[in-house]
This record gives sequence, C-alpha cells and structure tokens, in this order.
Amino acid sequence: MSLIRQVMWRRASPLQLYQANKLAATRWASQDVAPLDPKTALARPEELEQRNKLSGKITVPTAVNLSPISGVPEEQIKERRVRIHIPPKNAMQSGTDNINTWQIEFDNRDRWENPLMGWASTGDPLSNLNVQFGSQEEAITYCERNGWRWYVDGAEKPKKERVKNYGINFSWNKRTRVSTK
Amino acid sequence: MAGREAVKRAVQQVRPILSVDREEARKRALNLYKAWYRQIPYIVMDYDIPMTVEQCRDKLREEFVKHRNVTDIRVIDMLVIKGQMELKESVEIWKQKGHIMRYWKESQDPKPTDFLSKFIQGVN
Repeated sequence: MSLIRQVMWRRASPLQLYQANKLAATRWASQDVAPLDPKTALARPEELEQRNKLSGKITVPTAVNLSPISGVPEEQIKERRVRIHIPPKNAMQSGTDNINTWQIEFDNRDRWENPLMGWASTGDPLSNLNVQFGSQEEAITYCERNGWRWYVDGAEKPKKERVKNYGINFSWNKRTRVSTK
Repeated sequence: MAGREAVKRAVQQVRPILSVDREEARKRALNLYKAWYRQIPYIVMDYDIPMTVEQCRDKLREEFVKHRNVTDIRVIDMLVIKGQMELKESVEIWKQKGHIMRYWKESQDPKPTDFLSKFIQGVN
C-alpha cells in the first residue's frame, strides 16, 4: 500500500501539488483552530492526570476536627470547656431584641489583682472571646470543629403567654375611652 | 444540660487541597517524614543545638505520631504543607536556635504541687 502511495506521489505533477497545497491552506485558514494552551500542551501526562483529579471533588466526612491545623495551643483545646447559652435579658428596661443569639463562653481561669493599679488581670487568651451564633446547632458545630468540649446551658422553655393587662384597658368593648367633647 | 451529640456519619463532596485519596496523603506524609529525617543531622550542626541526632529523631517521630488519629484528607494535607514550611524555614536558616529548641519546650509549665512552690508562684 505504501509503495503504491509513494509511486502515486512521484507521479503527481508540481502544478497538482501546488493546487493541493493551496486548497489545504485555504481550508485551514477558513476553520478557526482553537489556540493551544501551553500549560496543557507542555504538561506531562501524569501532570495532566493530577490536574484532572484535583479539578474533581473528594468525599470527606462532614464532621471535621480542625484543631490540629487551627494553631490554637494544645492545652487550650484539651483543657477548656465551652458553655453554649442564650444571654439573659438585661434586668433594666431594655428591649429583648438583642438576646436571640447563642453565645459561647469558656470556663474561668486564674484572675488576679494587678499590684500596680489594682485592676483585674488574667492570662487567659480565650476569656474575652465573644462569638454569637444564630442557632444552637451552629454553636455546637463550631465547638466540634475546634475540638472543644461543650455543653448547652439552660433548657429551652416555651414562653408562657402573658395577658397584656394594660392593653385591655383600651379594648374596643371597654368603655374606658372618654370623649373629649 | 445536654451531652455530646452522637457523631454524625454524614459525608460531603469538597474540593481537594493536594491529595485525592488517603494513599496519596499517606505518601506525602511519609515523604515529609523522610525529608525531615535526612535533614536532622544538618539542622543539629547548623543551629548548634544541645541535642543529639537521636533525640531530634525521637522528637520528629513524636510530632508525627501526635497526629496519627487525623483521618480527614484535607487536614492531613494542611499538616503536610505546614510541616513543609517548617522544614524550609529550618533548611534556609530563617529560624534561630530558640525556634528549634521550642519543639522541646512544653507550652505550659506544670502546676506546682508542694506547698512552698505554690506559695512562691502565688497559686492555691
């Protein structure tokens, strides 16, 4: 077969060859050839395979403990216990709009009176941590991810319906509103 | 007071960091261990630390064994990346002697047990 092709090739006249070349050139020019990406073209096959793999997804458990890479010292992870709670309402006449969050709070560590000024000092890096969460589950997930032991303080009690005494005074069927005329 | 919830066995699909399976992550960890192992004599010599090569290798092993329970591939990858950074810092002498000796220092001093030490430290 190859012999025949060679023979045929030899028999082709220069004019025919020129025409064939021209045809091929126009055909290539008319088609839009996608430009080669040098990163893909020059990569080794194993590199391409690795890149393919990395562009996909892997299956991991949802619950993950990030304490080895979080950078928090080990003793601050193993020895601390977190209290998850809803902050109480201010006893003064403040509203209740700011108490719908869940907060985390760490157990207390040594505090001492500063000998210079008498202010309270502490060496606890987590004592002032104030993180608020929208729900109890979020707070629990946060603690689990950071490897802290936790407990939820205060059971959720349904709020008792309260009779609004003051508003009753102005009910439509109470003759409490007097005419000003 | 609610106790710890049962560990959920749910899984999720995520983008990998370096490795796509456990075997690959294991290979990376072993490679890092070997690299450290080979570098230790030079570290001991360069930093002139008062430790023998054997003690350093024990510490190296301890640091790796500390994370033997880590199962998440991404966490393993991050640990390997961090270890690689530490190694680079040691090799290039971006660290100093104290940074190397920090591996042997406990981050928290043990609490005093006898009366006099407690009295001196001012704790009960």
